[in-house]
Amino acid sequence: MKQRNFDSTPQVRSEFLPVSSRARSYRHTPYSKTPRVRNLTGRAEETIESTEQAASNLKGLVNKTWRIYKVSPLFQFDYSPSSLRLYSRLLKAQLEAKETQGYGVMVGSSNSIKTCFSVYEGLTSLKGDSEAVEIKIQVASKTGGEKEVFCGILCCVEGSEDALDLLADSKSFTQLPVLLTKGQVSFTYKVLDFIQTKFDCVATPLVFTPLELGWMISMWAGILNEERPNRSVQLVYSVPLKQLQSITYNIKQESAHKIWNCIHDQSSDEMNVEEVTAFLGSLERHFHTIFGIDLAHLCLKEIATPPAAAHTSGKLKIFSTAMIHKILRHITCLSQEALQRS
Amino acid sequence: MKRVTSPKASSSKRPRKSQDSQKAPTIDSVHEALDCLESATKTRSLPVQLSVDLIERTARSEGLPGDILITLVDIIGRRKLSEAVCRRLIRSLLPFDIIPIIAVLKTISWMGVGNTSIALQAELMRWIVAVYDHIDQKEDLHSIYGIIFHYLECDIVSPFACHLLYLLTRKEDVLPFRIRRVITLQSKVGAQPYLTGLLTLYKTYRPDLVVIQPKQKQKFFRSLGGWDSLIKEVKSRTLHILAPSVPEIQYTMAHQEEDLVRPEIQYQPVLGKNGIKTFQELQSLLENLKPPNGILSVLRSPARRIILTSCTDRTLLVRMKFLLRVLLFDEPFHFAEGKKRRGKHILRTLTDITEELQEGIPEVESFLMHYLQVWNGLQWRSSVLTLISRWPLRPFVELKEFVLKPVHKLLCSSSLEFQCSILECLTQLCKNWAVVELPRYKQAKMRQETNVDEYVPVISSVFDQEVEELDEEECLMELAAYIGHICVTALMLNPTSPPLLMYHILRFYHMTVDLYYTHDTTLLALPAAPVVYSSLFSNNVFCLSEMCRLITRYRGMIQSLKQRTGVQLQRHIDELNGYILDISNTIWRNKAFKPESESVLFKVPIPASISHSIDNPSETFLLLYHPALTAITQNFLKKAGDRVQHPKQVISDRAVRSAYLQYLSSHYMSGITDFLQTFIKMS
Repeated sequence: MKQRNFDSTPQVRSEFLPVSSRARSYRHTPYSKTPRVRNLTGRAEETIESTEQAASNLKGLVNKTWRIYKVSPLFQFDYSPSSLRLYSRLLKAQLEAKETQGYGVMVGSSNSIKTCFSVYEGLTSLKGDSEAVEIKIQVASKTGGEKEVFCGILCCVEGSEDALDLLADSKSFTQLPVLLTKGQVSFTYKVLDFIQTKFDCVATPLVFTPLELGWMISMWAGILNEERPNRSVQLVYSVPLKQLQSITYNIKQESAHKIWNCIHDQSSDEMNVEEVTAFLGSLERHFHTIFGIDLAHLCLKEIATPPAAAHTSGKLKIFSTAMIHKILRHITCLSQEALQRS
Repeated sequence: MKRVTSPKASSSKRPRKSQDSQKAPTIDSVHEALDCLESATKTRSLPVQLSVDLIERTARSEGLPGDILITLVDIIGRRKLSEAVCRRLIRSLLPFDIIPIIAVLKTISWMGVGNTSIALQAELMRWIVAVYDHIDQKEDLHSIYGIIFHYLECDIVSPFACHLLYLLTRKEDVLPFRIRRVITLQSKVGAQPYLTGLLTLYKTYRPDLVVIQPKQKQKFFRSLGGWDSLIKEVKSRTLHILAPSVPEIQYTMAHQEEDLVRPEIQYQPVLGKNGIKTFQELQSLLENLKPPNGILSVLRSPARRIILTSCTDRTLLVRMKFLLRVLLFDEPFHFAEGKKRRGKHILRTLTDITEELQEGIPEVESFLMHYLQVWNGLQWRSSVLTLISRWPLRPFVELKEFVLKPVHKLLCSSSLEFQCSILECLTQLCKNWAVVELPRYKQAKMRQETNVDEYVPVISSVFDQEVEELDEEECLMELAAYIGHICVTALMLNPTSPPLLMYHILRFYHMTVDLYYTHDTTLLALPAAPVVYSSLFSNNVFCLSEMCRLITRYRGMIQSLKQRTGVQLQRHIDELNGYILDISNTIWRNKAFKPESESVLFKVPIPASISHSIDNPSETFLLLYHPALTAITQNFLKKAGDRVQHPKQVISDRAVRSAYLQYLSSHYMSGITDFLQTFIKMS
């Protein structure tokens, strides 16, 4: 059976280059590479003592579908409470101004929309990481109460410091490469617009390629989720046919766990590209034996594992509170890689 | 009471002068007319009508001087005359050169007295807006900003007051209470474009106080009711006396026309109140320049792009880097079919920036590496080629692999025009490396080695990059050799060697010689044999002449290089000598196609079939019989008439020869004559 190359893009080019230029950074090659090895445990130096607030925050993250955006370093972002208050006032005024085109809106005037910028505790596990920031928008609902229409979390979990070679004074920049959003799309766009204008950064959807989904499923399929024992490992492949648009492939949590344990060296903190290829290859071979369909030739568009599910369009759902850090660490890593790619 | 002598009344007495005065009434008569208006009691009386006519005519023809404008404003303000007359008088407030500020201030104060009707007030306000560029001391007008602000309350005057405020507003004028009042006004009268315009300006100055989202492509202010054309007309007549008028100002928001990513930009104007007067002032301002918050606004405006080069704020470059990465890599669909306009716009902006900075942008460089692998040679050709020609100095293998090879591939399957534009682009690249990149590289290397911060290079890079170790001279030589290789490929693809192609090829070689004479950079790249061969046997006289000139120039260059020590020249000298010998043999010495030891071109024996079918082939390309020169030689012989019995006299007879060479020179073929005079002993 054909083996897929999980090592990303062609590497033929390097053989043409003399040794000196091969040794240099990949800025000078037209191809970017996915790393061959990824760390599984992270490099948390110390466990940050969790407060009650942090615990409840983390609970709020699970079992929700988040759409992910990658954000380049924020310019002149300030964590002080007064600045955060100013940001929420400005965002509120901007939202109002967009509603009433052509009418001026005084910053700070009261209206029906409520916005809030606040520090989101519980996500940071490394000292170098910037604190996560939560953006919330509420509008008055018809029943009288307040309805949350948008929630966004800017975060950075164990981001690599040298990933973004900030030549200039790094104090002006705040690295929060991941933005998780949930809520009405119109508000999402307005908030993105605000962040981009106010902090002179670029925020674009983070999409997961089938390769990256392959890595994710290998990374997370072997993890048992005690909170949700019935959840199975799922792979959805898109099929270019009108009658059959996708193939969903379900595997029991325990089976996937067993397969991964056979492939992966338990003592190692890292997983490598061979293990990913072997894991997916074994699943696909099984499917081929039974149904005669070679899944390796189809596009993987959605995965679900016990701790998390991801869709190729950049949607993510986390099921386990214990795994939040690991999952977001990987997402941060992907986002930083995508921003650095050029 | 003085009697006003109207032009008509005076015509009976002094017919000659009256004709003059009808064309251009004198200032004196205007003064008299003003006196009449000041003392008039009835609007409908004839003298008043005549005076108004006179003033109107004078104003329309050449404008009115300052003192008359002041008096007129007073007359209008006192409001003794009827509204219609006042309207006509306002329409006549056209300046000869400038409007004294006192006239404007008086206007505003008369408006406040209560004599003038609202409609007249609006007309006056419109007049101030229309002549704003011609007011002499705007500082004084600015000091009554608060008073003008009050006119916002009046519905009819408000549009023009808003426009005037828009022109006058500075950052310190934008205060919360004013913003609040405009917003309250908006809630009363709706989102009128003029209020939106004023608030948009307020937002530009104080984004922390007010937010507004104007509709796309909205025009903020009403037209000035023909005022602009009136003033323009008067100014065009007085132009010969006065300096050129102030350029027009566009009031719509410029950034709405072209949109790269997002519609809103905040910026902080930093220029002083009165503009910049001296160069030193400009220099000090550039040093203190506060870059805008949005990098996009910097990239979009050519004026603001100067900040990139002059500003010491390195964060700008980091922000630019991230923006470009997203623009160029994250949105590859911009470069797909159907999104052409956006892709074109992005590339055009980047080309402009590259040209202004005179160096390639690293992100664009990486983008080109990707893009050239799939480029079809058609899309955005001129932009892509311009960007290639600014490729920074890098190891040659890299350039060859990622740029030259894809371009070379395209060259093999494209039209003659494209081949020529590729050659042109590569010539530019080579020149750019020799003239800009090489000195920049050397200086950067020196700076890195000496590690002295005070050492300020003359040509420095905006992008603070590490200097790689490479043999820069060698890189340049390799590039030139590769271009020579491409030239030969192009010639092989076009066996007829069309003049257009030959022109571009010869241009490249001439450029290499130019580098030595103008920039003192040695780039020895002798044309390959096929290039010389094609020019020598070409049907085109230009190719032949230019090739001769090139060889002559090369000789000069090599001779002057010989005097310097340490340059390895022997190989080049041998090659050049071979060419000189071959060309002389062919066009002068009647020895073409005879293989000699030094010959480069004629080492290949001619097939027997050719040598048999043509009698005496070596004669065919003699200067006299050369196909490229046939017409010229024939003309020469015709002109010479009986003085030349046989064409061969051109070679044998000294007088005829010099006449012939002179004839060639006078027909722009000095290349050939120079060559012969340099290399052939004319005994």
